[in-house]
Amino acid sequence: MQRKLTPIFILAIVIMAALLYLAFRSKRGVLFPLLAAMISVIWGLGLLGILGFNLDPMASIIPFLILGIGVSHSVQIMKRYYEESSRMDSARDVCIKVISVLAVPALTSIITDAFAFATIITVKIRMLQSLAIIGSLSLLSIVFNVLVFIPCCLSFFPLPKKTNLESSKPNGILTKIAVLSTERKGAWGLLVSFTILVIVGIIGTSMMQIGGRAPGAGAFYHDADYAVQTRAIGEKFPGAITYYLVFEGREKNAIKDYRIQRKIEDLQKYLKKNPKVGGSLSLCDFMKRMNVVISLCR
Amino acid sequence: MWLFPYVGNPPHGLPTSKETRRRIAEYLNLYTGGVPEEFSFIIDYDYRLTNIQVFLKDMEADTIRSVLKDTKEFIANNWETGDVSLLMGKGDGTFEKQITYKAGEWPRSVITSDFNEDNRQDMAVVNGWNNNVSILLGEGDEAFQSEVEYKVGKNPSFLCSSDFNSDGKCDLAVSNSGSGDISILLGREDGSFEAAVNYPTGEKPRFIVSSDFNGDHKSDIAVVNERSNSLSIHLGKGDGTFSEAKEYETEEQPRFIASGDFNGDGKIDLAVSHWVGYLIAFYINEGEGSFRREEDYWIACNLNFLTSSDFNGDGRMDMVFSKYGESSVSVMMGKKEVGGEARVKVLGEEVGEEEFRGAELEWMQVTEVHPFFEKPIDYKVGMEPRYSITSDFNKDGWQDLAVVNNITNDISILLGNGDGTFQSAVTYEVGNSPNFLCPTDFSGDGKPDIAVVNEGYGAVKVHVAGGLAGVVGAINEELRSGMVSNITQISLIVFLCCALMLRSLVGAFIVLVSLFTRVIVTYGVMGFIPIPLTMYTTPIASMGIGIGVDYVIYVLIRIQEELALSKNHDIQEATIKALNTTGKAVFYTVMAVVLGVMVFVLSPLKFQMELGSMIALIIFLNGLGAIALMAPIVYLIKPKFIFKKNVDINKI
Repeated sequence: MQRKLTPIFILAIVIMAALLYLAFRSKRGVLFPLLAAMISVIWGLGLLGILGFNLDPMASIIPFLILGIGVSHSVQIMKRYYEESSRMDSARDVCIKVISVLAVPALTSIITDAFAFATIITVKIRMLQSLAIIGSLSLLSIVFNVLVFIPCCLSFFPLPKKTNLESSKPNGILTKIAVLSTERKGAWGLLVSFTILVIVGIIGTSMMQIGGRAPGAGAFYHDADYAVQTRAIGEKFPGAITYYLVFEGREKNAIKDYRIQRKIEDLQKYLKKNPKVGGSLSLCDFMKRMNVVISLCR
Repeated sequence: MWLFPYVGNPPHGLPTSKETRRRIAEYLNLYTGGVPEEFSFIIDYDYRLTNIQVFLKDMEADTIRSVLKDTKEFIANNWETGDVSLLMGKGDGTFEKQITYKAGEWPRSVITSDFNEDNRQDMAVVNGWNNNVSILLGEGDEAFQSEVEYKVGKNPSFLCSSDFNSDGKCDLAVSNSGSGDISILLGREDGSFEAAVNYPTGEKPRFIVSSDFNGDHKSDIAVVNERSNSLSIHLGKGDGTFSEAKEYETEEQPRFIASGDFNGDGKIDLAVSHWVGYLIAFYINEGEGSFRREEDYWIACNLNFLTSSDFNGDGRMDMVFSKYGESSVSVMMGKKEVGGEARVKVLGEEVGEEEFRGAELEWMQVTEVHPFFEKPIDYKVGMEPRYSITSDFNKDGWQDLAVVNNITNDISILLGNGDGTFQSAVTYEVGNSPNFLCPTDFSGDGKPDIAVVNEGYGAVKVHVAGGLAGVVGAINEELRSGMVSNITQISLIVFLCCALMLRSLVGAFIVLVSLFTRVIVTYGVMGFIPIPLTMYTTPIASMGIGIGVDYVIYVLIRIQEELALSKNHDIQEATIKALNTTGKAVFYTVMAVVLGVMVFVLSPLKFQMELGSMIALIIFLNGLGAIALMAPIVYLIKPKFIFKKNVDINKI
C-alpha cells in the first residue's frame, strides 16, 4: 500500500507546485511554501517513528493534511511578501512587516487547528488518539516553519522586481464580490444563499450514516479482492462472519426454561428472514436434536 | 464450540481502546482482565448464559445495522419483561378478568398493605433487574398513583412487611439474592420510605418472613439462603435495627419458609422447603429466638414452594406444598394431637427409625407418618404451581386456596369446604410466567382481590453484541458519543482562541458562525454522497472544523487592517482591498490544495479516496466562507473590533 501511496504523494506535490507557479509566477513562490510544508510533514513522520506509532492507513493521511495546511499558511506569507515588496525597498523591512502583520491570524488559526485536532483524543479509540497527538504536534510546528523559517529565508534574497508583481493586480470577480458584500442588498443576498446552503446541509446531515465499517472489509472498494472474497465466503459458508446475541439469566437454569428456548428459536426464525443472514445456531438447535435422539432410543 | 471468541484481545490487531473493550465486556456483563472461568463457555454449568450465533453473509455496515434492528424489534415486541395482574374478586369466589399494571424489569414478588394509612391497599413490587422496590399507592377503584422506586441491594427477590421500628407504620424487608443481604425500608406516614439500610445475611437469600420469634413483641426476620444452605434469624431491636444474624444449617438449596406453631407449644416455629434437599425441615422455637431442628418430613422430590395456613379452623397449622413436575398441590392437615413416632418408607417399604436415619438413601425416603401432620391430599391445579395463598374468597367463613401456575399462565382457585378438603380448581388467566401472588382488597369492598406478579421473560436479558461484528458496533457507539462532545470542544476552543487573539467576543462569534456553517455543510455533503462517519473519517471531520476557520481569520484581520489604513474609513474600499490581497491568496491556496489533495481519488483504498475528497471539500468551503461570507457579515453587523479607528496593527 505504501508503494502505491508514495507516487500519489509526489503527484500531489507536483500539482500543487504547478498551481503555485501559476499564482506567483516565481521560483520562490513555489519553493518556499512547499519547503515549509514539507519540513512539517517530515517532522510529523519523524515524531511518528520516535513515538513508535505505525504508519497505518489512518496515519498515512497525516502527511497530506499537514501539506495542505502548511501550504495554505505559506501562501498567505508569500502573498503578503510580494505585496509589501512593492511598497518597501529593504528585504529586512519587508520580512519584519510580514511577520508583524500576519502573526495574529497565523497564530490564531494554527493554534485552533492544533487544538481542534487534539480533541480527537477524547474519542477513546487508540488509533485515533495517536493520530491526534502526532497531528496536533506537527500542526504546531507549522507556526515555526511559516512564521519564522520562510521570512528568514526570504530576507536573504533580493526583493523581487516590481514589474513582476502580477499577483497584486485587482481581480474582477473578487472585486465584484467585495462590492456586492458591502451593499445592503448584496450582503443580504449572500447571507441568504449561505442560509439556504446550511438548510440543505442540515437535510444532508440527517441522512449521515454513523459508522458501520467492519475492520478491513469496508475500507476497501466494493470490488476490491478482499471485499469480493469475504462476501463470497460469507455467502457460501455461513459461519465465517458471526454475530453473537447473548442471553443472560439471573437465576440458575433460567435459560433452560423451554419458554425462553422457544423465544430464542422464534428470534432465530425472525432473523433468518433477513436476506443478509445466512443462518444461526443456538442451544435450541442442539436441544431439538438431542430430544430426537433420546426419544428414538427409548 | 461455544468458546467466547475473544474478550481480552480483539482479532485482526484492531487497536480498540481499553474503554471500548470495557464496553464490549459490559455488554456481556463481563469485565476485562481475562475471561473469568465461569464465562469461558457460552453455556456455563448452571445454564445461566446462552447465545445465538448469527451467521452474516458480509460485514457491511448495513448488514450489521439491519440485524441489530431486527433483534431490537423482536425483543421490543416479543420479550415481555413482566407486569402485575390484578384480579378483582366478586365476593362469591369468582373473579373479574385481569387488569395489568406495568412493573419494572423482572418483577419477582409483591405484597400489599396500607402504607399511607388512607384505608386503601397499596402495593410494593420487587424488580429483580432494576434493583429496586416500586411502591404503588392505591387510590381505590383499581387505580394507583404513579410508582415511586426505592433502591435496594442487587437482584432483590422477596419481601415482607412488618413494623420494625415500633412506630405503627408499615416497614419493608427485602432479600437481595445478588448482594447477599437484606434491605430494611422504614415507612413514613405518607407512604414514602426512608433509604434502605442493608444487613448482611447468607449467600443468595431468597424467601423472607417476619414474626416475633423471641417473644419480646418486636418484629424479627427469618430468611433462607439458597447458596449457603442456611436459615438466618435476624432479631429486631425494635428501633428498626437488627442484631447480628444467627445461622442454622439447612439441606441443599432451601427455598421457602412457612411459619406457624407446628408443635402446639404456642411459639412460632419455622418450616423450610428445599429444592435439592427433598424434605421439609422443621425448626422448633426454643424461645429466646433460638431454634432446634427436628422431625424432618421426607418428600423425595424437589419442592416448588411451601406455605402454611389453618384451613379447617381447628387452631392447628395446615400446610401446602407442591412437587416439581406435578401439576398439583399437596395439602396436609395439622394433627389434633401432636405426637407419635415418625415412620418412613424407603422404596415403598416401611422401615424403622434407626434404619433410615443411618442410610444414605435420602431421595428415596418418603414420610409415611409424621408427628405434626396427617397424610397429604393432592389437588389438581395448572402446570408448575409456584406459590399459594389463602383467603376467604367466597365469604363462607372457610379459608380458600389460590395457586399461581407458572407454565399455564393462570391461577387456580380452590374453594375450601371447611373440613380441610377443597372443591376442584377453577382457573383464571393472568400474564406471562406468573410467579407470585398475594391476597388483598384494592377496591375496599370487603371482597378479597388477588395481585399476581408475572415475571415474563424478564429473568433473561438479551445483550446485542459480541463477535467480530460486535467490536465494530462498540467502536461505532464510541464514535457516536464522541462526535457531539468533539464538536462542542472544538467550538469552545475556537471561540476562546479567537476571542483572545481578536480581543473581541463579536469577532469570535463571527468566526463561530462560519465554523458552524461549514460543519453543517460538510456533514450534509457526507450525508448526501454518502460518506459514513467512521473511525477513518472522524479525525478529518474534526480537523476540518478546526482548519475551517483559518482563511476566515486571515480575511477578517485584513479587513480590519485595511479599514484602519483607509483615509475616509470606507468599508467598501477596505473590503475590495482585503479580498484582492488576502482573498486572492485564499483563492490560490484553495486551488492548489484542493487539486493537490484530489489525487487521493487515485488511491487503491476506498477510505483514502473518501478522506481526500473530504479534505478537498472542507478546504473549498473554508475558502468560500472566507471570500463570500465574512465581508457581508462584517458589513451588516459592523463589529466594533473592526470599525474602531486608529488600530495600531503593529501592536501585537
